Amino acid sequence: MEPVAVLEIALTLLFLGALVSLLRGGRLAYSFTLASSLPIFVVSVKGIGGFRGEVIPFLPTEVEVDPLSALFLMILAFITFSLSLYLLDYRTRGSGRYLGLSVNMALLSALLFLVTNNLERFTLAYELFAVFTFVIILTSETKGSRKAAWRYIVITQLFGIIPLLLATSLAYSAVGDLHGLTFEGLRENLANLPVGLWLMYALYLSAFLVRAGVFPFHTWVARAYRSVPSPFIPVFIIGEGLGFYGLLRTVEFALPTSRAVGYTVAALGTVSAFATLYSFREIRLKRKFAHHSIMDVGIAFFALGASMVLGGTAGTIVLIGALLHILYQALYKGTVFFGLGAIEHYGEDPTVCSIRKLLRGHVISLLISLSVFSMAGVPPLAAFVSKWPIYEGIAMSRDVLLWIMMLTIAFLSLFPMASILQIRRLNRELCEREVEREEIPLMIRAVTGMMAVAGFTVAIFPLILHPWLISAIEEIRGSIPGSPVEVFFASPSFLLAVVLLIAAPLAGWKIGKMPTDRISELLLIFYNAGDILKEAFEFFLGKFKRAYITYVLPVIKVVPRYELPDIEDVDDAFDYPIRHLDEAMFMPLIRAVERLAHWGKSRNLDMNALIGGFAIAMAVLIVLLGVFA
Amino acid sequence: MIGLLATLTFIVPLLGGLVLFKLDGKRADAVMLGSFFTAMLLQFGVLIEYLLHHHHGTVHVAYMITERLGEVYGIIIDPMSVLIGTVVALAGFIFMFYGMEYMSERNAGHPVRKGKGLFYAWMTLFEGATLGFIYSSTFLGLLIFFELMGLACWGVVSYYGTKAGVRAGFKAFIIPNIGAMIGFYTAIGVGITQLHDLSLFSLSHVSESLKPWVFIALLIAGYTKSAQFPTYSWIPDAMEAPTPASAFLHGAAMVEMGVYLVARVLQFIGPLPVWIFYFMAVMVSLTLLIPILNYPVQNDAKRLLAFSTVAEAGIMFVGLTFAALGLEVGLKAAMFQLTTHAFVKGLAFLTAGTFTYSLGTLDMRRISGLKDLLPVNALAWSVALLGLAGLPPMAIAFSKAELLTTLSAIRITPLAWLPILMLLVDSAVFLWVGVKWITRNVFGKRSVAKAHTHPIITASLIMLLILVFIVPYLAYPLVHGIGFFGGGH
Repeated sequence: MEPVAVLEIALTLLFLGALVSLLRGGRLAYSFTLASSLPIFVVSVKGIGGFRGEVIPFLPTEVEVDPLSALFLMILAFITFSLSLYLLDYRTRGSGRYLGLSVNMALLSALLFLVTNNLERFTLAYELFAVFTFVIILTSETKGSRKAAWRYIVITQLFGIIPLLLATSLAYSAVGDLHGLTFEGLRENLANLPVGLWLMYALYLSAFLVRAGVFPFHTWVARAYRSVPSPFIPVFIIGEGLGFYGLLRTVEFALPTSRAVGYTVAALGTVSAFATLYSFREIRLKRKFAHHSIMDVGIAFFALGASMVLGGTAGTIVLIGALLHILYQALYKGTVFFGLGAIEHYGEDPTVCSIRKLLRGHVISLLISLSVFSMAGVPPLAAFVSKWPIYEGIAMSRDVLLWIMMLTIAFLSLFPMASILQIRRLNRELCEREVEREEIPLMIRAVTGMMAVAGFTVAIFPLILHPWLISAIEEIRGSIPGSPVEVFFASPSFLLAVVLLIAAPLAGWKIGKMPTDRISELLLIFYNAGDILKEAFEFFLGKFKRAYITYVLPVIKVVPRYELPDIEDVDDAFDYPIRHLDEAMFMPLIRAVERLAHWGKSRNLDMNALIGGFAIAMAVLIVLLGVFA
Repeated sequence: MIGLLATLTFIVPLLGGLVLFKLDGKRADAVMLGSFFTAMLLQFGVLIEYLLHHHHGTVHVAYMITERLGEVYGIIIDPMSVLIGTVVALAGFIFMFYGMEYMSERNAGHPVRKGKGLFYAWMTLFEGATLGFIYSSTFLGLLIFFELMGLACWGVVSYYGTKAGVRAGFKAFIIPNIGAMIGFYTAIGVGITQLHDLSLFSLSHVSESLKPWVFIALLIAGYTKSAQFPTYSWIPDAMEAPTPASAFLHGAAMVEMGVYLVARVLQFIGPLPVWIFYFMAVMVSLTLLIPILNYPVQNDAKRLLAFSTVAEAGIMFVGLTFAALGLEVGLKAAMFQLTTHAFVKGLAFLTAGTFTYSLGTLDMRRISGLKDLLPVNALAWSVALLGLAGLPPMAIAFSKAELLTTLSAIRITPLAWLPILMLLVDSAVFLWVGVKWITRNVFGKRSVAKAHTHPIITASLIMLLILVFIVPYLAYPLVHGIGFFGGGH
């Protein structure tokens, strides 16, 4: 069967899953999702060789699957498979129908985003993904989900959808033809862009940083993760991957490589890694891991930026690390959140105590531990393996800025381990109550286990990913290291990488044993910096709101001056009457007609008949004018 | 054949409207619905005939030609009139199908026991006048139907006879009338004295020195009809009308016909000086500023939607602004936006109408928990508000995307950024406000224990819900065929 036909099957199954969910809800919808994972995987395998075509007859969409798309499709296939299998046994809270609909449509959008080479469809898929993930948050109906959804969609639209739309419109004006509006088409027509390249970089960067939840657009992540039922969080993890893919695709395939952009991306990635420090403040596990998640995506972006700066062999090695990291983090984070879903399945909020209550001694506990140790970079688990080429490649260079960023990341990498120990310590100290744990459904256990084993296996044996990874790297950089040895032992600088990688969990172990108050004191300076940023933002937002109330409100509503200071929020202004700016202009005429109407009424004239008669007379006059002219 | 069908599409509702002035009760229901249904069927006939036998061509039928005035009355059947005619006929039928139940004594907010025949009469005339306006090929024809629309608008807005309604009715009648006097009388004057032809085709023969001024005069007529700055406030006030009428005049008729008029003029008038673009860009940006500032402080569902109408019509004018610069895609995008907006705004208004019908209020602070109370209405409200903010897969997203392709005009002038940025800011602010209300109205705690609805109401919402998603695919072939006449600019 042609790969395009297989892709169409996957799209159809996801669409049917969405429809069935809307009409009937429940398990049947997720069986379509489950079925779609197989064709997605087939497309991923076929994509290593590359293929082109057109899908969706009523919305013709050009597709071009290359090894880079194939690599991300493989992640998508695996998460789609795991997620749908898991949800078959999961007791969903919130609106099951809309959750099923939006999960299927979000996955469909992600698939479209990864396979299309048309910039317009790429933008559409991005928007659809944003909308349906918004619906996931909104319909979760948990505490805070409404506010989280509101914040998510507004940030995504302002800094994601709008910049991407503008970038696509500018690309169209360069290419001049919707059909040729591809990554390649844009690259060939860069000279025709009506704006400077810097603007295109800024627009794309903004859009993909939002999608990936990277600083300064990371603010939605923790709230969204907390609000959404844990098993649905992998959909957002896919979204973070899409952000990475989107940036890589545009900076490597559509726009020329820029060192300045590389430094910017690396710096933003590094700042994002500071999010891990905030996990110490949290006892709610979903928020805790959300902060670690921001760090992980930040590390991938740091590596991507560094590879753009470095170029050559070092750049290629760092890029391999970046791709491995974005892949691994999807697997170990997926496992963690599937594991936490087991707690939510019984209506508990995952906290350091509920994890003890429900999961102590359970196999799920072990699986979660394996994944969090992967996240902490314990040798030879996932983050250890993926960070190795990143550190090694940067250590090969003499770029001082990248070195500073790398050392910062290496320092921050000790905190995931410290965080794990903190959970364990708090668990012992605070959570004394023991209850009989309930049986966790088979599917939940099986999927969490499968994902944990997959994360473990691909880390220990990265050669499993060899066909996808190497083909993707070859496509981007033209040359590839001959063997894994040339990646992991490319130069003596690997020793520095290994030292940093081993030192981080060891230091994390020590810090994790310290009392939380003591750690908080040490981190106070970082918390203060974060609080200053947050307060500065709130200050400006408050000033903006005040300026609206003080200067705009009296123009658009009839508000007595003396009442203005009492209005604190726009909601307080609802009951004031509207002031129409144009009425002043037409008021004399309106009043004259009103007086005429009153006069007519006082004479007992039928206004309906009067105006009707007037109009008929006018019409007759006009008709006669035409006839006798 | 196609000429006869097109003529019947507006003659039937015009006659139906006249009959309805004397009817009430079930008879009025039957005649009104029959008129709308027949007009819709006839319009579908035009659509099918056009697609089968005249694809992308122009059929021009001159009804009356005189020596001194040239073509006095006639019709044009082209992709634009067929598309917009179909939108009006289809949307009009759905709105009035819904209206049949809305204008009943089961309406909690506005129970109607008798006298609905008068409302139906004005609405049916409104539909006939709108369809007549769409097909007219001469300024005299356009003027007559323009005035008839204004009259019908006055009739429906002041229907409830409240003080605010009567005032809003006068305002809705007078403001577009001033525009008509400036625009159409200028065009007809030029037609009589200089061109000796009143047809739209003669516009290209207006002398170069006079052309911009004729265009500006007609643009003013369009602005007043479409509630553009500085004549916008009649439309938020006109929400005093019964909801089916609000849906019609905001979504498919009246406001849209101002846009349609300017689009028609741009099709025929030929190249315009670049200062027209500057003028239109500034005016449309000022127009968009008004709803942007007003959205956050609206708590009345229909008033919020009314400000959104000002913005959405403004967005159509953004397309026309670029069309004035010679970009054909601007013309297409404006008509595409008109088409998609009709159904999304219709859905929004009809849902707001269900708040009156089922809950007896339009104050969004008092509406909560729709998800549990009225699930279909909750879905419709969410889809409509998100759709108006331009999010896909709802229809407006596609027409806005088409509109953004006009950004290539920044090669000609950097001012091209202004309307596009205003459009995007409008979408962002509306989304911010819209999501705030969705979270309260749909997902909040129930504001009442139970709310009633009716199958006719639910069926109307479902029809529109489906159309909101599929209309871009249905409309695009005709949108694609829209362009300037005679090679254009």
